[in-house]
Amino acid sequence: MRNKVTAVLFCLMLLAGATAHLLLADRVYSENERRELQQKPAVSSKTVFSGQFGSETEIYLADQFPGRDGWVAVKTICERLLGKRESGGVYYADDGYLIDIYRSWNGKQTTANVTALKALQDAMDNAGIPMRTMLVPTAARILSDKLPRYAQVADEQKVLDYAALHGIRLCDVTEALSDHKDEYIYYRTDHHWTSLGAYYAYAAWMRDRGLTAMPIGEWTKEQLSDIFRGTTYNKVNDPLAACDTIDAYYKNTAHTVNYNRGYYVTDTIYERSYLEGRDQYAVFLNSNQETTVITGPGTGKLLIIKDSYANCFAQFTVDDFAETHLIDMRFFRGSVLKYIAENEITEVLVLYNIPNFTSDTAVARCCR
Amino acid sequence: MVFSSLTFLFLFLPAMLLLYYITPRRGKNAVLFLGSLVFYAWGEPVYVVLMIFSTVLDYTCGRLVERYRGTSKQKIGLIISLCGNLGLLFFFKYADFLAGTINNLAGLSLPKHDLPLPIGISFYTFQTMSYTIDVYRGTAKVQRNIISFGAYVALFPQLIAGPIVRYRDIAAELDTRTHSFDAFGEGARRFVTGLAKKVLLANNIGLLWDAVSKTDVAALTTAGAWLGLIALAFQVYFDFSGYSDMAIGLGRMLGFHFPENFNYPYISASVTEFWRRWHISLGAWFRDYVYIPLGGNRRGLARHLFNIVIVWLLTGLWHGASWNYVLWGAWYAAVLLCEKLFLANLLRKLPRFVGHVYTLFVIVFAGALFGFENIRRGFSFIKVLFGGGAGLINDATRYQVLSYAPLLVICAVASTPLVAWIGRKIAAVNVRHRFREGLLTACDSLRLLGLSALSLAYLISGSYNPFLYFRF
Repeated sequence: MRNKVTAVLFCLMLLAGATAHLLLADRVYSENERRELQQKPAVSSKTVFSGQFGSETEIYLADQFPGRDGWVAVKTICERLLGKRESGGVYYADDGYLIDIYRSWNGKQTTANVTALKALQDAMDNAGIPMRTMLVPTAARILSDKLPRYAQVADEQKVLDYAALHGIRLCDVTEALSDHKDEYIYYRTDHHWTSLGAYYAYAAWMRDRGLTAMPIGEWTKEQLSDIFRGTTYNKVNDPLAACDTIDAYYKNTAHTVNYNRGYYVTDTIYERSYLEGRDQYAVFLNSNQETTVITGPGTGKLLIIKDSYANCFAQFTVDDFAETHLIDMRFFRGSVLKYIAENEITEVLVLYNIPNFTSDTAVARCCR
Repeated sequence: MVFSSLTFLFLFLPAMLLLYYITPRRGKNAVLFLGSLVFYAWGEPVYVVLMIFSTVLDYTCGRLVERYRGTSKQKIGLIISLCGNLGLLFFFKYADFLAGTINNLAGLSLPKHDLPLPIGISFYTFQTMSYTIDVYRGTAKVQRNIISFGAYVALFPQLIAGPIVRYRDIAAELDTRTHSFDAFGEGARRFVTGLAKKVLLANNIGLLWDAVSKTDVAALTTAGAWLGLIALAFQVYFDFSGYSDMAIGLGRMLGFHFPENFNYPYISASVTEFWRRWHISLGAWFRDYVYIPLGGNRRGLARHLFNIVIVWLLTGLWHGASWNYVLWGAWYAAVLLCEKLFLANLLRKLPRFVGHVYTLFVIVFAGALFGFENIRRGFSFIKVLFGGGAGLINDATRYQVLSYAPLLVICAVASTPLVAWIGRKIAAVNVRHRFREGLLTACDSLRLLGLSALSLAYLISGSYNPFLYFRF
């Protein structure tokens, strides 16, 4: 009997696996993985003989397997039960944190970026425009207490020391963030800092400028989402991960936001349509745009040369200046110096997350 | 195509089994032969020609040997087969290696063909040769049906990674074999066990070896290097024995009995015993077709030792066309010689655990020779094993130990007959027959479904590849 049962079960499994995906329509895009899934591979003598057809068929079957995300989740649960401490480039840290692994940086790129930054800073000094640079440490550094024991991480301080040694005027946010490491300053399932984390950096920056930031309690706080699962969640697909909340902080909401020189003009820095989808951090300043100009009630014109870490940081500056400009070097093809002159910028802030600063090739173009 | 792929599990295997079972008895070998060609051609669309060539060659040679039996021309078929198969193997596997070695030593620049190695060539050439040799020796009957012979050569279960099924092992079953629910169920169980060994254990513990072997030698610790080798030992065992289990299981589903290939090698108390338990079909091949023809142990001690060395250098070379495999073979030859000469006697007088520790040391260390085709890299790794690295242990090593400890324990337990023993105990429970059958069926089904589901989860996750950097 036992062999009969085994035989029948096994045949049923093969049959189910062979027919199930025929009954379901193929998916084109995976929200979870944020990529296009493999479609039915094309048969031609060329693809067959090169073996391409064979390898694409395997990916096709895996990508279109019924209940794919559930199967991936089963694997993740297994790994966690087996005591695995990292997966897909993410540490399983304490208190439900999924923290991106950042073990080493690209020395050559860092050198090039620091050199370009110094040139820009010299040009600003000559023009009498104050410029500061804020290199934001990762959760792996600030929340290192939560990392698995003996986890190996890059020494981010070395990047800061290197930049300081080469004359970059740094706004020290490491200490500001470390002082508040027990608060909710990094998302548990995303590689970004939270608005609160950005606020502490903003306060440190204001201090550097000889000003005082309005205390956090006096800002209007609004919860934008409590079902946010970000990029580190996507990397491990851990079904047990808790959701993050996204908060907005503002003084008033009357702004004009001009993306990409008039391509899209709106009246809020919060692009709430993103809250419907998975990519919810993009609610801040409409994801990453080439240029963004926000008009506010303050005086002076601030330019932030930045990566996505600045998107939630800018909500604190928009009321201090008449105009807050943001340039994303990955998309910006013009001359930053010319932009500063043409727009009569009065202050510059360079804001990057350290892993991004040490790897992004676009930063090196910032003094053209 | 490999067994541990979705393509095999959910396209090839269901179609193959369906066709095989609905085809009448007379046509089953043809289905096997053609199906196996498709199986092979899936990954090697061009090289399938070589396999067909090898099939036709040995079919013809077998007939030639038979035709001229008892005459002076009897040897012709045998010689053609040996030259053809060894020539094929030499050209694809060893020609570039030899040219490279000569170029290095003599400063020449002999051309290389740079062709990829046809999958399974080391296995099927050995199998087809065994057929012609057996026919020549009279230990196997000539096969007159080329379809049946083709089915033997191309037989997909053992085509890619063995076991090396000698023709005479399945000669009878090629012509008449029985199919039953019992055989199919046994086969399915065996197959799923093998799949789990490969996908759940070998692939995952392999990640540890991968990480260690890629670590810069200057940053590697002694404990880390040994940890890596232990992971490699588990990876190789579960990979290879998992494949053999799958092959044997598929064979059972199709009505064949393939020889066993592994018998808990890591519980051996001597290296001699280890090689009786590890890749048994390869050992048997070299014994029958090299060692015994050379005279085995019957021509005096010196010749005996010489034969051992020859067999082991060839075994090493069979595993790969690179000097590190020759060294690996030489290492085993040296250890086995020592055991023949004095070590075996010594071990018998010592407590059994000494033998176990010594054997595991020899096996695990051999991995350092096996694991690096670049000899220089291998030697610098060996230096680390004996203290020449970044110290005894560091945090990186501790991190790896903690990360992999549970998996290492599972691998260690799965390398012993413990699970099988528990199974036998359950089977021997003294209760009413029907209850016992029910219990066993439930256990079996749970294990089958559980292992299949987990293996599937890992296979599907293989393509999990989130793309998250386009707007970081």
